[in-house]
Amino acid sequence: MTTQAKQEKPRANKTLTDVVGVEVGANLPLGTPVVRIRRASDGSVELTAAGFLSLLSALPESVEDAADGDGTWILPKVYGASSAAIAITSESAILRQASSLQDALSENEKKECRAGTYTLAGGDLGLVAGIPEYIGAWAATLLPESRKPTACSLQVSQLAWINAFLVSEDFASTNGTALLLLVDRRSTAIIVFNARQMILYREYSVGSDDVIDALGRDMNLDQATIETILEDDLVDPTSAIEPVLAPLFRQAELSTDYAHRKNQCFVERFFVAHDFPGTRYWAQVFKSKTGGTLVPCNPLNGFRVAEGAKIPADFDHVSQYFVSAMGAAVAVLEDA
Amino acid sequence: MSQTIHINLLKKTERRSPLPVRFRVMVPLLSCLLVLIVLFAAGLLRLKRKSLEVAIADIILKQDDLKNSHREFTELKKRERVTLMEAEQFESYLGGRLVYAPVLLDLPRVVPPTMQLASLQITAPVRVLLPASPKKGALAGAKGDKMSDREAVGLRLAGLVNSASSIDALKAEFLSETFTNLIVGVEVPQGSFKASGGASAYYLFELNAAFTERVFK
Repeated sequence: MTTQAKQEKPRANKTLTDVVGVEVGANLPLGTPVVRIRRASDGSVELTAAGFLSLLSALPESVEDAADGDGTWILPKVYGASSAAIAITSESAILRQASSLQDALSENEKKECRAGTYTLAGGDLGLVAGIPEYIGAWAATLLPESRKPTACSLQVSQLAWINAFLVSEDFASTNGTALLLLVDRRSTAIIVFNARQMILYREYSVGSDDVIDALGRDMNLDQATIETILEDDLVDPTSAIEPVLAPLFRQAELSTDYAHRKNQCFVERFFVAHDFPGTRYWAQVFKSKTGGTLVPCNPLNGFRVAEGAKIPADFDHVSQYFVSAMGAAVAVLEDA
Repeated sequence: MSQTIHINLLKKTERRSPLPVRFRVMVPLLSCLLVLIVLFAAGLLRLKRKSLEVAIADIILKQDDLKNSHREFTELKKRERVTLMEAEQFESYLGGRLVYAPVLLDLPRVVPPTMQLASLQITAPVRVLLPASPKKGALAGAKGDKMSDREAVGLRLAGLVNSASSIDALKAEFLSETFTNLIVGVEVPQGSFKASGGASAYYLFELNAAFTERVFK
């Protein structure tokens, strides 16, 4: 196990004003999402390029697979910043809140993972992020030496997404206190912010696929049909969804209570990451269980785009796929 | 602005440079190149030193030759100086030589027929001693006195003459243009013109002619 402490800022980042962000492991049919973010002269960050590139970004499944990927990526010139931040989307990735690295990781994880910590503001608990060592070693060598860009940061994609949320217009519109549900296929993270800083991170094993599975069991339908049902109004699947989501939302309620007790903050803004099938039913159930309004959030909505930026024509429709890449790049720029 | 959370899982050893020049490659290469340059420079210096040593040895050899040549040259120069001095002396002798031949050749012409010469003598050259401090009444020959570089000879004639006018005629001839540059003064010593005695009508006489002074350097 290796650790990188927050205090160990890379020297190279001192003058960084232009960073490429890449998400690997997302396995999107459109390609590998890549963005280029730069700090404008007024100090704000802006998007200068975004696109799906045909790069082999599927994560290796073993140490042997990882050995094949040394320096194979050549990015187009439009992504020719000197540094790149890579967000890794992996089921094996770790993001936990814990008092120490030792407490956060199991013995097996300690042996096989590289991990880093971050001390959350005003709390006893820190944040621990980690990825399997072979994935880290593989990702570090994707971009070849002597060509722009080269990797300057490896991040867990959940945390990259949170960073994107932290700089989003949605979060800026709050008073600094909010709850974010980061929904994955098989898990959902509940994240509470106070005074514009993260104070709580909890992960529960209920995800978007669990909802689909529950509907499939209940209605005896295939996944494609269920996704269609979730997008239109022909059938109300709330009764099937509610038992799955109720425990999760109960946990969200408990988290807001905890935040209120610990930090005397009252959470009244709720966001759900990703606009996945059935989001509105998630919002309905959330409303019925907690009384709060769950709003789908895309941090790239309203994000400043530079004049003449090279972005896809349908960027508004596909922008949610660039969030992790953008979040990783922004974290590097903000840390510089 | 919210503070983002950056947990960088990239190891320091995994960081790569985007610069086209790979320091990992260039540093050893440059080091090797530097060592080669230093070695080359050292070799060059060594070679230069060697050639300088050869040149110095050559110069020392040449210096010995030159010393011999210089010694010979100095010797020759000394000899030349001596020779020149001798030549100069000879020239000086030539310059100082009194040419008596014209006087002697002209004597039969200028001596009146009434005069019979009993003796003709060229007096020894006399050099004057010059006093170092010419005080009134000081005697010559004191310490520090120098010999004058001028000397002169004289012509002394003695014989019989019929009258004093013949002597005067000879004196006039000696002081004429013919002997201008040779004879500067003619005198008949006091008491030298006297009767020869007996029944002869001739008189004994003496006549001294002072020759021009010559300078010897």
